[in-house]
Amino acid sequence: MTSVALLVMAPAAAAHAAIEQTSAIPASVQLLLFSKIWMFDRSVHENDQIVMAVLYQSTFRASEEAKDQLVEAVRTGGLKIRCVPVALDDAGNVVNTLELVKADVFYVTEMRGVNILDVVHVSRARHIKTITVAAGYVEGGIAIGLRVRNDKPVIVVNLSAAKAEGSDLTGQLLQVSTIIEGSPGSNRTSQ
Amino acid sequence: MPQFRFVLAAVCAVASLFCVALMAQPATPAEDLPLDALLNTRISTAAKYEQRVTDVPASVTVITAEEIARNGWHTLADALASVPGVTLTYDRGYTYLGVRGVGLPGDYNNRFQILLNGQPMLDGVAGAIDTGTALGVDLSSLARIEFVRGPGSVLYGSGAMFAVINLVLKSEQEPSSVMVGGGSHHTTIASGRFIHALGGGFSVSITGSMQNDHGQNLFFPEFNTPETNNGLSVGHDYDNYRSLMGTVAGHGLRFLALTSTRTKGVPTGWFGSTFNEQQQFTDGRSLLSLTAEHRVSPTSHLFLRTSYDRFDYHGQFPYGDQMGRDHSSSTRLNAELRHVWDAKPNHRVTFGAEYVDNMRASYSTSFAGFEHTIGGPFAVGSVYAQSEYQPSHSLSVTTGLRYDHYAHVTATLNPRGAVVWHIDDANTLKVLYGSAFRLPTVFELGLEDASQNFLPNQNLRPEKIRQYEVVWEGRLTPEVLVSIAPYRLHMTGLINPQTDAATGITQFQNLNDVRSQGVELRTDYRRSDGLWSYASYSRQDARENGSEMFNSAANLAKAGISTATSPRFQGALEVVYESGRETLADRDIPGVMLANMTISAALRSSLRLSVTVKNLLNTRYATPGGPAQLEDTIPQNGRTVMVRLRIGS
Repeated sequence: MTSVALLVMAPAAAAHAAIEQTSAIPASVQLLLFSKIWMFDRSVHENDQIVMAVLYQSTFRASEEAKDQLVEAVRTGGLKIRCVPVALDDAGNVVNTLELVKADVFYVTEMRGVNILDVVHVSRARHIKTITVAAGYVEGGIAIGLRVRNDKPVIVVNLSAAKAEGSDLTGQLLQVSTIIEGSPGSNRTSQ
Repeated sequence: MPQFRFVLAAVCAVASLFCVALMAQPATPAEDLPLDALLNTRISTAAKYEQRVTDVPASVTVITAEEIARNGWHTLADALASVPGVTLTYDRGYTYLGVRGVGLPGDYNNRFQILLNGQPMLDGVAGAIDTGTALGVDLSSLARIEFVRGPGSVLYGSGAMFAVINLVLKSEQEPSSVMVGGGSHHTTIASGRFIHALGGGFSVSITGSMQNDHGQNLFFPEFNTPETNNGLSVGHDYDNYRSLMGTVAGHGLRFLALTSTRTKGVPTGWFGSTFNEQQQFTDGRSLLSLTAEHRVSPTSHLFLRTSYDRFDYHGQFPYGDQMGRDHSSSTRLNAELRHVWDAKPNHRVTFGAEYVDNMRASYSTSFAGFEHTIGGPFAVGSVYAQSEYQPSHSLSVTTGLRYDHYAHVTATLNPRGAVVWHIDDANTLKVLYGSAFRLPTVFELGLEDASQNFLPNQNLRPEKIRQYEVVWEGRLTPEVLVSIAPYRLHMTGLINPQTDAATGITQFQNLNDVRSQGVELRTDYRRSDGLWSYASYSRQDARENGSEMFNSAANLAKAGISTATSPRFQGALEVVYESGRETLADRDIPGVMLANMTISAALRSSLRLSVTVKNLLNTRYATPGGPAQLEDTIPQNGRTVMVRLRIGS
């Protein structure tokens, strides 16, 4: 039985970060929810138009479609949001690309081969808010995400990441959110 | 007349609910475009990493928790009955799946792979898994069921011949719930799911479920003699189970423990045992599984799964004044290591290795003081690789290869290939090829019965299957999705008992050849106010050695309509028609139409009362018996009612 226990316990040594399910929340619903979330962020001024850079990969279909759906939702949504698609096809040049982007928010689509910490680094240095629906990205340092739980969208907040980006979230929002603390990437910000 | 009134009342109730739904307020944003939500659902069964339904290189049906709740489905078989091309055969012991015209009662579903969160659930003796109450997994604990048609051996090895069915558990953050219920045949059921945050990023969930079902008294004309109670089996159809499952998850780790036991009375007189006497069997399962996922680098993920699985079967069958007993015992250790590497954003490669150590795999019989045991330990080692490449925005090419080495018999090599073309935003075309195999079971290799001149055959080879399929999925409107899937499959070396006319010796042999071709059509209509409906038609022509296949329905039509579970009143109606099937004795069973209905009402915000009526029209019908039964056809349940009270979601 000892060998059985060892075998069953073996993966514990390898585990670090979950690779979870990416959300299936429609883009229009995402936008509505994120817009409401910003109403509970004291650092966002109510009447300001928000410039949202959508970070995606043009060679990865799921990423590009997520961008297309979001752009379309912004176009038809009537919200005070302007969308700027930003292709991150060169995974080795993410920081340089993002340094040049003028935006209030980075919307991070699911991408392959991109180090999310590069996005986190720029967002914190330039106080740009980060949002996503991609699985595992909030744990990886993105500030606010949406997930599906019991067929309903729920808000996930990486509190230290949000603070590092300059967000000032109200207690009301945090009460209805799932909070993730001490995420990867927070050390890098404090450096 | 009372029956007519009952049906009329039921139909009126459901019609009222749909009228309420049709006049409902416009959609709330969270329920916007439910077809988008369905098509964007991420499933992991087809590639062993998550992909959107519309991107997966396979023909897929996803059954969500919402659909399970709407329709009041109690077992996996209930849920799969709605899937195009699926037929069910219940021999009042186990429920057997058939897909695309091929479904063999008595095969214990060993030509399907059923997974629990990616963990194979088969036993090592017969490759068996039940889709009825012996499954041991409560449907209310599932986030969704992923049904992936076609050969899946490249990723899942032996047994993944017709489909891979993955039962995906709800996360540990989903709310707790309790359900109690009762219904026809003095049935009582209960289940509960509880969650708790342990701190430190870990959460726990515990799910328990039970059923006591007295069953029916059944008449079998084959036993219509005074010595066998004039063919009436009294009190032998009971079906009782208990199941307990716990998970702990956090930081990329998930530990799962499952124990279940199910005792089923046998009303049919299996294996020639004495009819209407105390005969029953018990299936028990214990499963421990641990999975870990680790992001090694931005381009590299590692996945490790280990499990310990034990499955025991005990049967008792009276023969006159003697009690015959049989027992199968399977203990498996399973480990899989998988590396997913993103060579480029548009090129993902998966490498995997799997080892299954069947430490114990034996089947024994005892009768009149004689004992006989077959089987023993064996192991299977496998390596596989799969590539998903997107040469352009609209095109995805998946190729894969797996090598399995089976200690006792042989090695097999299985390829797969798929091209997924997103023609435009509304249309997707999939061209699929796959192959799969099934290793001969302990039972098939070693079964011996001198009294029946039945000899073992250690020279059996694996069964093999190849399938070609084209799937077109078209979004006609934002609310309507249509899919058409023509297919052709060829199975060689089907393992069946064969009797040599010259010697009279019977053995399992690889002689038969099965070909099936057909087409599956399905349309989904999902409105943003929660009204969902579907309709499907399957035409399937399955032939064994050129002759019409046993237990194969040529035409299947299914339809369903349901309203959301969130409003105060809710309803669902499903209808299945299947054309006739042929029995083992070459008799034709006529076609049958069945209807099921569920209505529910929220008594309070978290308290819901539901009533599910299966076989609403009280249709009398039967399905073919298998080799274990003397009966050529097995009667199925008439109308049954189940009332449930659920607290929580």
